[in-house]
Amino acid sequence: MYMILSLPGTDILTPWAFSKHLEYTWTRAAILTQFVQAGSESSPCELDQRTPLLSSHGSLCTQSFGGTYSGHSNATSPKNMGHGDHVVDQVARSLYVGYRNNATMDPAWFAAVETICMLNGCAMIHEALDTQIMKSYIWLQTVDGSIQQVEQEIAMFCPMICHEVIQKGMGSSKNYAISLPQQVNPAVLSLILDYCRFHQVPGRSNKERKSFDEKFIRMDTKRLCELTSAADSLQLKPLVDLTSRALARIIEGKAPEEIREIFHLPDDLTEEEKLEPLKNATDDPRIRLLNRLYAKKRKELKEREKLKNVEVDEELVDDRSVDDLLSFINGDDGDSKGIKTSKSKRKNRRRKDLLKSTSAHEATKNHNKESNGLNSVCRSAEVGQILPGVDATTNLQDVEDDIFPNKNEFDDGDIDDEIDPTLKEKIDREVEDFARRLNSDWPERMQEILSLGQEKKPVHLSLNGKGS
Amino acid sequence: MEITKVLPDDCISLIISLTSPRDACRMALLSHAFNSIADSNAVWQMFLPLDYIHIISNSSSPPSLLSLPKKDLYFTLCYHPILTHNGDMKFQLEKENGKKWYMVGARALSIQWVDTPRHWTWISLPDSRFCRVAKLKNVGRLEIKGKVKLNTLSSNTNYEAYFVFKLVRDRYGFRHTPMELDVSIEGTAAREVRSVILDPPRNMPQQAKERADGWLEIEMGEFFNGFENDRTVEFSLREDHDDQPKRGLIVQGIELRPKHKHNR
Repeated sequence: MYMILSLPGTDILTPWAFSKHLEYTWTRAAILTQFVQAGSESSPCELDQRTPLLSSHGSLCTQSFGGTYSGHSNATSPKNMGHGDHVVDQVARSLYVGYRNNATMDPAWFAAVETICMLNGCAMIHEALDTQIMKSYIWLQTVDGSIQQVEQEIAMFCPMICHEVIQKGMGSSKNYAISLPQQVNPAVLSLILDYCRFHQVPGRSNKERKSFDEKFIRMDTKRLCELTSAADSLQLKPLVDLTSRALARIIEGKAPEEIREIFHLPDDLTEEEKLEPLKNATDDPRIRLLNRLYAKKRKELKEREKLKNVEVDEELVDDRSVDDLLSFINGDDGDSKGIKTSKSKRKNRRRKDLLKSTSAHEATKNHNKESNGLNSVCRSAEVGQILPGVDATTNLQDVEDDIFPNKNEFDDGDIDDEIDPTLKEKIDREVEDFARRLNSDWPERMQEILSLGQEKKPVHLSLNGKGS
Repeated sequence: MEITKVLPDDCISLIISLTSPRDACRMALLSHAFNSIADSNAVWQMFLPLDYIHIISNSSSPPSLLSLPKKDLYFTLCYHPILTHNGDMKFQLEKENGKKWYMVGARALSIQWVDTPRHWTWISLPDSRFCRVAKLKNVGRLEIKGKVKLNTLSSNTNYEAYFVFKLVRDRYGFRHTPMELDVSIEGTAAREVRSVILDPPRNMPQQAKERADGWLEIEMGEFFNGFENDRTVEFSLREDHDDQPKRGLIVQGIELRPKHKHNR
């Protein structure tokens, strides 16, 4: 009957924690249940013995077992027994003393606790003990081993610390300091405590709080990340939200390269992974087409890689000879604008221009598909070099449009789809052939391809100067 | 200090979900770690409207839509509008910010004389998501009204209302007569009134714009949907002054689009 209340150790709880523990553990229902049980087991007169007596002097004492835990008041009228009455104070205090003196096995002690809980509610005990002059401190230990004490109302603002104190009774002395998670180093802890110190005061207006928050988060990104991590480990959600919002504001709208720099991220996705096929559960034909496009782009990338590796040294020479060749072929138009093939760094941009210029030859839809597809290649090939700016943004925006298929481009082009992929496959095959046969006879090979290209695929290389 | 080593995944999810869908797509390209977080359901669930489950369950779409990964669901809703409210409204998401975008179909509008075959007829057109659209045969006075409860829409958003229509070849009555367009929030002073000509002659400025789906749209007005949104927004298109016969207008509906912000 007396075992409802189980307290950790005897000298661990501070008065405040003790009262909190009572409040936490005891409910009126529990107490009443006990009394009902007592009623069924014992005779009525025992119950009477447990009811508190109000003496004419307004003192409350428990009759049973000699009234060891009692308090007296000088008030003449019993009506003065009420909320926050100092008699309750005294009883509460004597209960606490009893607890500290190992009285928890004493039935009388329990009886007194039960009585006062039932009469006044646990909150009163809490209030009584809480108003003691002695301020309570909580002991915290950070990951580096250093221990400090913090005012309880500030520390208890953190749910994790609160939990440790109430559920496990930790933190009341240096030996029982609460070990904080490893994300909380002393510098970050001091920031968190500043935050708690401000916000735990109930009387502040929303405007004040907001203003404090705005000033509070003005710190460098690294510190913000540490703070988020620490606040998260202490389960201090309002602070996590605040810092997360600040970090979100920092990264939104930035290009991937910038974000990588801010957060020191490795660029460890391969080009292939960046072109990873979209998973699509609804088997949308547009997504299927897009995945096919991606697969082709991946192949093209591979070719380009191979080509790049071989011809790096000869680039300058090659360009010139290509120009010569083409101006010869074109009969001295001299316009080498659209000539460069898939070799130079700006190749992707040029190809886009080329394709745009030859759109007269193809259906507009094809052109859209091509250029968007190329934009995705642009993105993947140049993503390491994108600088913030209009170009980069448009590229990325185009890419996003590409990832999420635009109705227009794919809607009624089914007939065209039959033609275009085969043509593209031809192109791919030719590129592959070219790559395979590549050797030191670079200029000759180039000439070969160009002459082939002139017949079969005006799409790839705008050999007519007028094509632009 | 690499961020993924400092912050736990759910903090990074929270941060990404506080940016925008576009940023989240970009962040999937940053690194391996970011790739899986930025594509995760935890992030994309935050971009979907709060009541997305309710909307989809009460639509004509299969419930298997709900078992899609949230990112796929988000983009499916952006590009494939679904019919809700018994086929009366068309719903999709605004790609940039996940706000709700509705079109109130002709069936849900109050069109005067619409049920009289002499004046209006219901036809089925392949380029409309709705089963039926209303075609005007002949009226003297034109009145089309609609209303939408504000709590259907995304809160804290600026919306623009558009009248979506087509004009057939033999039409008359819309070339010189202005139509009165009215958008107002019932019970408040918020109101916009405009006067437009739906079918001006070629040398006059065209006020209606052609849409991607082949229909025309004309802006009726703007309104702001705040947080306490138990009100209704009302729209109307009216021409009841000159009593001249009108013919050849096809009404698909009134579209409510979140206004596109170009900052941020």
